[in-house]
Amino acid sequence: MFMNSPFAILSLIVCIPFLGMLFTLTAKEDAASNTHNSFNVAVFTIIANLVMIWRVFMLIDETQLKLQLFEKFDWLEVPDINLVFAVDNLSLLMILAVHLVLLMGIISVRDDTTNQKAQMIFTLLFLSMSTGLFVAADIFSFFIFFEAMLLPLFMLVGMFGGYKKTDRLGGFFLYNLLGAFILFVAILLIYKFYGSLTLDRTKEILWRQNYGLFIWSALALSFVFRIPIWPFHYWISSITSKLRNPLVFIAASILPLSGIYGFARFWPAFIPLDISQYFIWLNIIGTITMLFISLIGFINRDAQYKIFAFVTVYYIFYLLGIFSQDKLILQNIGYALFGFVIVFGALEIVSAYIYRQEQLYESNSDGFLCRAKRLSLLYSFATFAAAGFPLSAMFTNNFLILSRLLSTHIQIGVFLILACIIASAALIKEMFRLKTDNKECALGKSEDMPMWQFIFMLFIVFMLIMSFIRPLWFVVSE
Amino acid sequence: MLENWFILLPEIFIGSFFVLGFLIGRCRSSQTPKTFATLAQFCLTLVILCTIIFYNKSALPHFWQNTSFTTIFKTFAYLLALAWFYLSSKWFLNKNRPSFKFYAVCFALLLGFDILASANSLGSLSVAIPFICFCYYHLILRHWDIERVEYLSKAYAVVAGFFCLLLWVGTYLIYQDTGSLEYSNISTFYLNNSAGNMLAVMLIIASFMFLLGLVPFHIGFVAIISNAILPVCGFITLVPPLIYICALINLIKGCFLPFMDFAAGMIMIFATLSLVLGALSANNEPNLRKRFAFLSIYCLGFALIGMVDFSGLAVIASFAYTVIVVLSLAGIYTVFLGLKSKGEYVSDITDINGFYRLRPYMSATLLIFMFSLIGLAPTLGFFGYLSIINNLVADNAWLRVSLLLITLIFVASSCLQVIRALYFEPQTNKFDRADKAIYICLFINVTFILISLINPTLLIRDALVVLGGLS
Repeated sequence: MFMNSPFAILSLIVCIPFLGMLFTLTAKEDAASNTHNSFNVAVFTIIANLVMIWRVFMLIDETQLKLQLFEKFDWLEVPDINLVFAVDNLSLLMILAVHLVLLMGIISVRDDTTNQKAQMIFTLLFLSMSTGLFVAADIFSFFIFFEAMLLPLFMLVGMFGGYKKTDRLGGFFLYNLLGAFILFVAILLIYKFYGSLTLDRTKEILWRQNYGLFIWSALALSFVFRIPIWPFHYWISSITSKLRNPLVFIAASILPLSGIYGFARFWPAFIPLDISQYFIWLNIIGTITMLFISLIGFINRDAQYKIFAFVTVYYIFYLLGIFSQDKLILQNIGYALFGFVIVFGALEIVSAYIYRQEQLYESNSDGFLCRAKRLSLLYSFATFAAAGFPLSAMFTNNFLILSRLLSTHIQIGVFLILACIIASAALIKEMFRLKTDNKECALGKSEDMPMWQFIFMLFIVFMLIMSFIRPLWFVVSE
Repeated sequence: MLENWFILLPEIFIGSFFVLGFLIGRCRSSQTPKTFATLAQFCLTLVILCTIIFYNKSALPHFWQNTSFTTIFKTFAYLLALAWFYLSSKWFLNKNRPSFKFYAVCFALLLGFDILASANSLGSLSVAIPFICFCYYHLILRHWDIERVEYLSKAYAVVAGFFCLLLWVGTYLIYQDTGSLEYSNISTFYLNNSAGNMLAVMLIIASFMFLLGLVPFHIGFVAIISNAILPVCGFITLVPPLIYICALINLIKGCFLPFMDFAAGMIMIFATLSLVLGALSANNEPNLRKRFAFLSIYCLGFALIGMVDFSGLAVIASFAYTVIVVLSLAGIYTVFLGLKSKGEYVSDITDINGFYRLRPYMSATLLIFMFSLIGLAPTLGFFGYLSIINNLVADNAWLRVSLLLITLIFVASSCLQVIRALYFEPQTNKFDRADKAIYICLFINVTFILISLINPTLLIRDALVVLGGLS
């Protein structure tokens, strides 16, 4: 065991949600008496872990781009495989974003007492696995969590996603499993030819030596399997866009983040010219997918699909940013992703809240925001932040990423801007529908968001605004 | 002389069950199923202890030879038998059926397994295998509805008789050529690759494949699992695989070393067929027991494909994989004992719809075992797959790796169907309260899995030491 972090703090932030899950497992839950023991345990666990993450931010040197606070655990002797954890700004920002967005999701389903315990258990397990994914500092540790996060996600989607076609869920799982298998084969090849799975050795793999091309192609393919880019979009889009539970939608939308992060962490800094020239095709396919999905989102009347379209468009946007092979841009992508994850989470939560009221009162929600002031404020903020207004870390950093992409391929850059505009317009159009007064709308003031939830969401708004001013505003240097 | 009797203590304790069981049957007025279960556990505990104590001693070294290698396989198999005996008593109590004959046949089988695992001569093999088949025949007949299994037992007897005949013919051919039945003598003198010798090897290996229930000899195995009583199904699925694999390794490495390539090729064909057919047939099979019978055939195919090189590392990998699979299957069969509705054990996949709503903890353990069978990281099953596939990659056996991974997708699909029924479908059945023993066994199994998960080396360290000598 090797460690240069105090109290194995990185392992702790992976273990705390897992321990929380075990506590939740023992929590007494009685739907009839409306107790929220499992909910309370889950919220407490996440808050406790947020404090730990905050501490980790202070332990690292934020000015450095390399991984810090290494922890290594001997795991297997044959084959010689270890678990290696380390963090940098990018991974910590992802961990923080995932914690915040899942906390928002959990709070939004507080009143959904049907099988709440199971929902909390799988959410905490998912949180633990996704935290593990972001702290993984070698390709094997990454793979373990890359595959492990599928289990809780599959259970969340199947049990609470409100998705009726359960046979298609099996396909969704198998599709993701196939991606993980491809990564597994790539890892075994790396181990066979390079004898080590550390990040440094991974980056050293040459394209034209010892199956190098195959290894890099397999790595790229396995990551792309998680991103709804054409032709890999079917399973993710067909499931995620139909999820009605905000917590499950958020969890499912974090799945593509694992692919994006995989590229950000393991993709080599240098790609030979004769190979990189083919990357233009990836840019073209990505841009076409963005345009296509944003247009469907614009036309589609379903608010959930519009959010899904927005999420997909921006994920592909960040993916193309990573392929621009600029180390400084990677830092901006980290900041932008932090804002983006929280923004789409906030948007989903207010949108799901409105959808629930629609279902409850069997009424359409046209003009509902004219009467529900708290919801109106939150919805407007989330929509404008998503649309690219200067309200979160997305604004400046997206601008920088776009500038980089425009400088590489101006034509593709123009289409990228167009796709982002259409995705944002779809969201704004939906906001106008909700804000245009309608006398027939049965929903009124009393259906507004509860005050305690509103206060929590205001805290999230505060976080976003502060992230616009300075992404790491909460870090106090020691 | 006295020393030899001590060394034979494991076999003597197996035999003591028959004597004590018979005496209890004669003397005690109330014979609950628990009485014989307790006796079986007591005797088997002594057998395990003596097996470990005399791990490298042999009373009849010309017929069977105990080594640390055979002891590790035997100990695992006996421990599984011990756990299953304990759980089976719950089935007999619930059904209020006499259990002596079941335990007696199982002990007879254990005796057969004891000889088979340590067999050092084709003579022992020629006795042990027919004896095991004979016990299987009687085990199938342990059913209260005798008409249901009568035809099956007769069909099994005919087929088993045929394969025993093949085994004897193969043994006779080798004896004719070498004048000996001992493994060491055969491997020394039996070097010419004549057609007759090839045929002998083929016949003996075919009888092993029949014992393992590999495709195309799987029909009997699947029929037994789907028709026999639950204690019989569990015993047949969990205990024998480790013994058969141990005996096969002994046979190939000890006796058929000059024919290693030919034997490996033959095993490869059977294993590939089992892998493909097991994975495909397990999908859309409504009967849960049949589904898991196909899955266990698949797992055996997987273990054999990983083992066909018979190198030290390949054997260790297959051993680790088989232990992990058997542990998962033990957990699944334990849950089967808790799947009881109105006193009847359910066996259809639609019967378990929404099971988790009533039995969340049992469903959760089943979920862990299913994902372990799929080999999803970081469940224990993943280490089994990792050890085998890593070995194959090191050997550049890309075709086999592709085959394993593709079939694994089908296995995952089959397991997901069960998970979907358990968790995603609305509840259709009411289930009876499960016995505490089931929860205790599940808890122990899951704890073992979790400990092995945190430090997988714990599970295979001894195997590395004991089996490492093979390389």
